[in-house]
Amino acid sequence: MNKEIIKTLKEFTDVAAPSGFERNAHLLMKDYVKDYADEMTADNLGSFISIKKGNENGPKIMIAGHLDEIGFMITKIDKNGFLSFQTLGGWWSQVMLAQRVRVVASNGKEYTGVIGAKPPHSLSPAERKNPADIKNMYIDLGVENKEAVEALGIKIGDFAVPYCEFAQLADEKYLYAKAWDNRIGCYIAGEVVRRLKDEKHENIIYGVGTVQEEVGLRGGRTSSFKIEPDIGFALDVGIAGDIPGTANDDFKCALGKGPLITLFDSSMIGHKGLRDFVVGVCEEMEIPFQYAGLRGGGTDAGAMHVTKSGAPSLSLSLATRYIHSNGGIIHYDDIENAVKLLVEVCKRLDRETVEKITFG
Amino acid sequence: MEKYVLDRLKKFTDAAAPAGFEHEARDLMEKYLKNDVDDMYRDNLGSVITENVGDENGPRIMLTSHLDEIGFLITAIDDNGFLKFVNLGGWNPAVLIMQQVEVVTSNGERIHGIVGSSSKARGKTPQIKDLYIDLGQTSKEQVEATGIKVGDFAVPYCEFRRMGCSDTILAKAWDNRIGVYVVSEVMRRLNEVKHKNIVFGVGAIQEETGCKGSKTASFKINPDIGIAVDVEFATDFPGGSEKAFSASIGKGPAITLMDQGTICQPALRDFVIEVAEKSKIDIQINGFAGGGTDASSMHISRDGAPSLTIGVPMRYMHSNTGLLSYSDIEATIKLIVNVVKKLDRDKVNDITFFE
Repeated sequence: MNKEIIKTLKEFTDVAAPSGFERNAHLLMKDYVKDYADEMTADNLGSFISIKKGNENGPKIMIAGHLDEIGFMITKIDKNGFLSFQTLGGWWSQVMLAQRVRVVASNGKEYTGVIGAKPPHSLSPAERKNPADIKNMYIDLGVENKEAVEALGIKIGDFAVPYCEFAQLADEKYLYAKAWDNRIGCYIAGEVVRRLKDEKHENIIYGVGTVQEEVGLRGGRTSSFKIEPDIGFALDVGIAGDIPGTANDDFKCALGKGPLITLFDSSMIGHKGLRDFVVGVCEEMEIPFQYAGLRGGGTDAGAMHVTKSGAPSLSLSLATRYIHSNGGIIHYDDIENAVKLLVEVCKRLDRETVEKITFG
Repeated sequence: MEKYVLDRLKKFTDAAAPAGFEHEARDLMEKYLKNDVDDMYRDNLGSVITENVGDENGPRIMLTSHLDEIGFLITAIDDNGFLKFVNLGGWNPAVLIMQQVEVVTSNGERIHGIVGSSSKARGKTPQIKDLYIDLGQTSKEQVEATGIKVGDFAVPYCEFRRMGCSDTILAKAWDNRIGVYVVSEVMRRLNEVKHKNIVFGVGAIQEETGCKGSKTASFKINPDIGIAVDVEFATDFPGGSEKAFSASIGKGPAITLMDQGTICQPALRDFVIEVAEKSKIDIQINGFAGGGTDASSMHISRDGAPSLTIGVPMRYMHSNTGLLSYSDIEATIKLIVNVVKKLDRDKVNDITFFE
C-alpha cells in the first residue's frame, strides 16, 4: 500500500465542501493535478476542469467525479442558539440523530456541533416507533444563545458537513472516511491525469470535479456543455452488497472484488458499446470488475450522455458501504484497479475506436 | 402610493394569462416597454426579451420575470353545463372551493363562474378532478352559446384593491405580474443610469409548469449572471412557518439562499447583500424556500451562470388573493438597479471564479 495515496485520500475526504459550497474541494483537486495538466479551467458554477492533451485532434474523453458531498445549510438561528438546517443532498433521517458535525462559518473557521437527539427516557411510544423528521432536527453548538452564535461569525447560509476521522480499519485495506461520495471520484479523475503524464494517448482527457451533483447533476450539465465530450465516464461510489441485509439486492457488489461497471441507474442506461469496450480492457489487462445496477440513484453520466447531440457514457463506481452517512468504507485495491483500468482505457480511446463505439 | 403606479399594477394583475396562454400579459409588457428599450424580440416559445445596452462588450445580466399566472384549462362541458378542468401550474384544490373564476373564450370574452366540489364525503381532501366550474347556466347548449369551448382557459377572479388604510395591496397574479412590473420598471430606469453591462429584461412563459420559457430564453441570451424576479413567501400570519425564517411583507425585498431548483452561489449572494447594505435598502434573507423559480433554468443553462432570486414578499402564495406591500415594490426596483450599476466584467469574474 502506498502511504502517499492514503495521505491524499485523507486530504480529499477531509475537506468540507457540500453541494453549492465546493470551493475548497475545487482548490484541492486543482492543486493535486496542477503540475500534470496542460491546462486548467472551470465552468461558471465552479466545476473544476483539467485538460491533458495527448493529441489535440483526438476525441474528447471526459472523466468526472463530483466535488460535492452531502451536508447541511444553516437556515435559522433560534434565540437559544440552536441552528435549524436544510439538507444539501439526500439524507436518511435515521442516520442523523446524535451525529457530530463541523459547522463552517463564512470566514472559514470551524466549530463542532451535534445534531440533537432525545434520549430514550423522553421518547413517547409513537416517537419510538417512527423515524424522527429531519424538519424537527437542529444542530447544538454548545453555546448559550443566539448572540453567542453570531459572535462566532456564523450566519444563515453557512454550511455544515459530517465529522468523521479518516481511519484504516483492522484490515488496513478497508478505508473508513466521510465523503467517499464523491471525493473518490475526484481522486481517481485527478490520479488518471497524473499517471498519463508520460503516456501516449491519442485523445484529450478532461479530468473533472463537477459541482452540485447531489442536488440534481447540475455541474454535470454545465461542465459537459462546456467540454462537449465524445465519451463520458462518471466516477462515483457504488452500493456494496456484501453486508448483512442485502440478500435481496439485484447486484451484490463486494469490496475488493474490482470496480463496478454500471449497467443502468435512474439517470441512464450505460452505453453498450462503451461498456463492452471497457470490459474488453479489463479482460486484457486482467483487472477484476463487477457489474452493478441501481434503480434508486444516478450519476453525472446521466447529464453527460444527453449533452448537446449526445455522447456514449458509462458510470464506473467503487463499491462503498454506508454511503450518505457520516462515514463509509471502501477498499484500497478497488481504488488502484479503477485508476489502472481508466489509464488503460484512456490510452486506447483514439478517434477510430471512439467512432466504432459511437456508430459501430 | 402613486395612483398611476396602482393603475399599472391593476392592469398587469387583471390580465388573464395562465401558463401556456400568456398573450394578454405579453402584449402589456411589450406595449409598456417598446419605446424604452434598445431592442425587443421573443424566443421561439413566446418569451419576451428586451435589451438595455450599457456596454456592448460588457457582461450579460439576465433579469427574468414570468408572464404566466396559475390558472385552469377547460377539459369538458358536461350535459348540465358544468365545466371540468385541470390545473395550469400548482394549485392546492382546497383553496379553490367556492372561489370565483373567469373563463376566457377564444375571442377574449370573460365569463364569470364559481368553483364547486363534488366530493361526496365531507372531510375528504378534495382533488382537482372532484372540482367543477359553475357558470350559472343550466345546459351544455347555453354554455356553448357563450362561446366557451374545451381547450379554453380560466383564471382566478379577484378585485384589485388597497387594504384598509395600509400600503398593502390585494390582487390575483402578483405571481408573477409584480415581477413583470419590477423588471419593466428597472429596464426603464436603466435609461437614466450609466452601467457597464448588457441587461436583458425578460418576461418568460410557462414558469409555473416547469420554468420552460426561462430555459429557452436563457439559451438564447447566454447570460453571465441571472436574477429571477418573483414573489417570495411571506409567512407573517398566524400559523405561517415557524421552523425556518421566512419573509414579512413591508420589510423589504427578500433573497432566497436555496430552493428546490437552485443553490445560490455564495459569492453572488454576498455581493447582492453588500449592494443592499451600501444602498441602505433593508432586505430579508430566507434560508430555504419550497418550490423553484426561473433561476433554476438560468444557472444551469449552457456552461452555467451564477443566479439568484430576488422576491417581493407576498402572503398566500398560489391562491386567488395575494397580499403584498407597496413599499417593497419600490425597494426591489431600487435594489436591482443598484446591483446592475455595481456589476461589470471584473465583478462578474470575481463572483464566478475562485481564483
